[in-house]
Amino acid sequence: MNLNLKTKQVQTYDAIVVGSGITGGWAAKELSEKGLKTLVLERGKNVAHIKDYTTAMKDKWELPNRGKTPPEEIEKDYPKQSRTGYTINETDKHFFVKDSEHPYSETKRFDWMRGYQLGGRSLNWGRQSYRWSPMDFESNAKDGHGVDWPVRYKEIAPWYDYVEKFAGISGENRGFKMLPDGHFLPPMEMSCVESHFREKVESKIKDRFVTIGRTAHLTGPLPHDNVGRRSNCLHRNRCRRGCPYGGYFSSLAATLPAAEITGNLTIATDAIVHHIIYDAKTKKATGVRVINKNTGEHSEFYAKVIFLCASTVASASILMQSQSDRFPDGMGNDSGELGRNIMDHHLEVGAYGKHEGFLDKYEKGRRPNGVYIPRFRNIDNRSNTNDFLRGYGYQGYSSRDDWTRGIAEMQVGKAAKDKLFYPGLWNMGLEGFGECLPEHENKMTLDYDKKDQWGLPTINFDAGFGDNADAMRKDIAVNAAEMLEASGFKGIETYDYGANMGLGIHEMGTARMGKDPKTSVLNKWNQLHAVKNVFVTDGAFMTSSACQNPSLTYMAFTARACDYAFKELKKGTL
Amino acid sequence: MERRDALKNLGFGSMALFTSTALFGALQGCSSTPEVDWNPVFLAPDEAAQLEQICEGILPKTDTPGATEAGVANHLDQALSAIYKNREADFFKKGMAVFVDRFEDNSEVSFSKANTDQVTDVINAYFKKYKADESILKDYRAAFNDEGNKTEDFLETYFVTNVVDSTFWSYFTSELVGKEVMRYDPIPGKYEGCIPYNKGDKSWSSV
Repeated sequence: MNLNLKTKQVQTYDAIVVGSGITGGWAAKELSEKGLKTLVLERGKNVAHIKDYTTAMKDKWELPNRGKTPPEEIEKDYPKQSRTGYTINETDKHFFVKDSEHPYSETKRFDWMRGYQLGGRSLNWGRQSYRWSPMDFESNAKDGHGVDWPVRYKEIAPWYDYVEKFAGISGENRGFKMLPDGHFLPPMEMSCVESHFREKVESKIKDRFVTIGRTAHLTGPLPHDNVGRRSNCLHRNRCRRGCPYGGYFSSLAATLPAAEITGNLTIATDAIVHHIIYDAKTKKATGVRVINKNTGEHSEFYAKVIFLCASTVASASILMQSQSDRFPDGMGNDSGELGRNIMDHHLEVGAYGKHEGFLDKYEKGRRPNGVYIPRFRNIDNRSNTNDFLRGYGYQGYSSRDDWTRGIAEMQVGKAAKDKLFYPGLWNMGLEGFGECLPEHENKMTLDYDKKDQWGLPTINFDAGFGDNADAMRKDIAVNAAEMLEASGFKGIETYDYGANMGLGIHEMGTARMGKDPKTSVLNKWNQLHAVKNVFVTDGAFMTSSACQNPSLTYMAFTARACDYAFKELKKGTL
Repeated sequence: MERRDALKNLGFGSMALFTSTALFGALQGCSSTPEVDWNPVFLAPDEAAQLEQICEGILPKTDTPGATEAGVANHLDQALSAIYKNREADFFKKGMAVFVDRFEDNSEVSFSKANTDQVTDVINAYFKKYKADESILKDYRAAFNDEGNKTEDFLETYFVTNVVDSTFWSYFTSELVGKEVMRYDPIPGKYEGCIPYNKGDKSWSSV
């Protein structure tokens, strides 16, 4: 065998992290801060913090098409990525992939939103950051759907503390049992109408609460060295373009700079990891196979420990492609659960209305955050319903009507025009975020007949929401309308645009953790049951979905897994 | 929040008109100064003049600028040129011809002799009709995706609804209105949720 030993040495690290999004950034920071020589492999393009946020300072009239992307371009390049209705604008489409370059297929519609770049989707995420409650880790065991979580809230709580302090989460502690308190920077203000809504809802409806959204924006000084030199949020609400002030948490603004100053970090972009190399003798992974996105060149990198942080779907895909004699169905897939149990939150259901009061009040600044109504269904005997399992929360938002109301009013001319320079009535909307049950039938598979431009198999989705979500959605709409009514809103309308899986951009569950290797892919430390030096810490590990936005939970588990991996490495067990 | 904004139903149906390519602006620059003699790139010169007259009727000059001063017709012409292959560009052009042709059915004067107020009145008369008879907009929406030639009624409804929709959009996202007329606050710094509103205070601009 003619092995190039020198190359092997150069391409060997202590740790490899696949992906640079929210969890990849955390893994890079934690591992390199512990002194491990860490290589981050990112399949997308390089993005330089600040410099490459090319649209961040542009007003509407400074954009070629005042922000909108031409229909022909959407049809050609973004037919699926545009399904959100709020992305693929001139301001941020460069942080989403082109479907034309990265195709996938759908047995059932699945809205797979991707951002292939350094920083991944931490650049354009929604930034809402909520802890799970003790109830959320016990729900599978309680009603028998999915498998039991091998972790309880008590074990993860210190890691929530840890990641919140570093990331900087703005919010208020209310002592809710279904939404634990955290380490928060000062809360953003509510508008007058939201404060009024909170007061009415909390006084009129038992056990119903409204709090300001908990969001990963700086609203005060961080309790640690601000390595990324992040500034407080300036309330421009242009976050998805990338924030030149580092006002919100992203890998580029926060974790990667912290990793970089250790001197232990190496980053390679345009590096598509498609296979984890398995050594049957040691029963461990030895490294990864990589294709250079631009040149098509193949290479290998080696490490003692590998962290898959490539995203729920991509990490499962890499494991599925990592076939060997030992793992004919994909690495770590003894249970047959790899690629299954895909979950997301179902949304696009709620209610809105208008309030005739508070016309002598207004707001200043564009708050990149709303209000949050934590789960109130099926949390105790009083709130139990037979109609559906689990529960949902709401995100809400108020504003005074702007000039767009003029179009709906169907009136033109001098008088119609002149009143549109002034704010109209207050409006408020509530949108539900519903928990999804883990279902074995909901799956992704690899299609080796349809290869991408690098000769890799493409992904097929066969997953959707079931009857439980349908029943829950009726309750979401009804309760949203009730709360608006209780607080004096008029012209209330409910809406339900249908539950499309993926659209929450909270996909999770494809390599779930569990106690039993026969029914799960990962153990409680995010470690493959069968290959101990491979960790999966993105959304793939999630055993159930709860109804809260999941990124904070991914961060906490990632930091915890890094701590565990380091200790095991020191012990010599990895 | 952004998710919810996306659900707001702005306008009457088509978004194509304002989703053209980077061409406009690049072609000859979007003039926001009053220029009756801008060079149309999609419409014929007489059509361009007609469009400008219609846009001004939708958002006329008062003590604030009108559509002409904000460069709306110029901007729309360039938007149309960039989607010229799209059938909606054709709907728009043909629909305007129907609108102009039928103007006298709805007014005491012909289109060419109409002043700004008379154009305003005719468009409001259409809206009154749409509100009184909901089947007009319903039938129009139902026919939208049909293949083949469109009726004059369809083209007329397409034009009236879309010219209003796009005139509002173009006007309120123009630099003139966004910077000089509305309150411009590109970097607010902090968010204040409950401040006094005094009658006469303008809204924050759509930046």
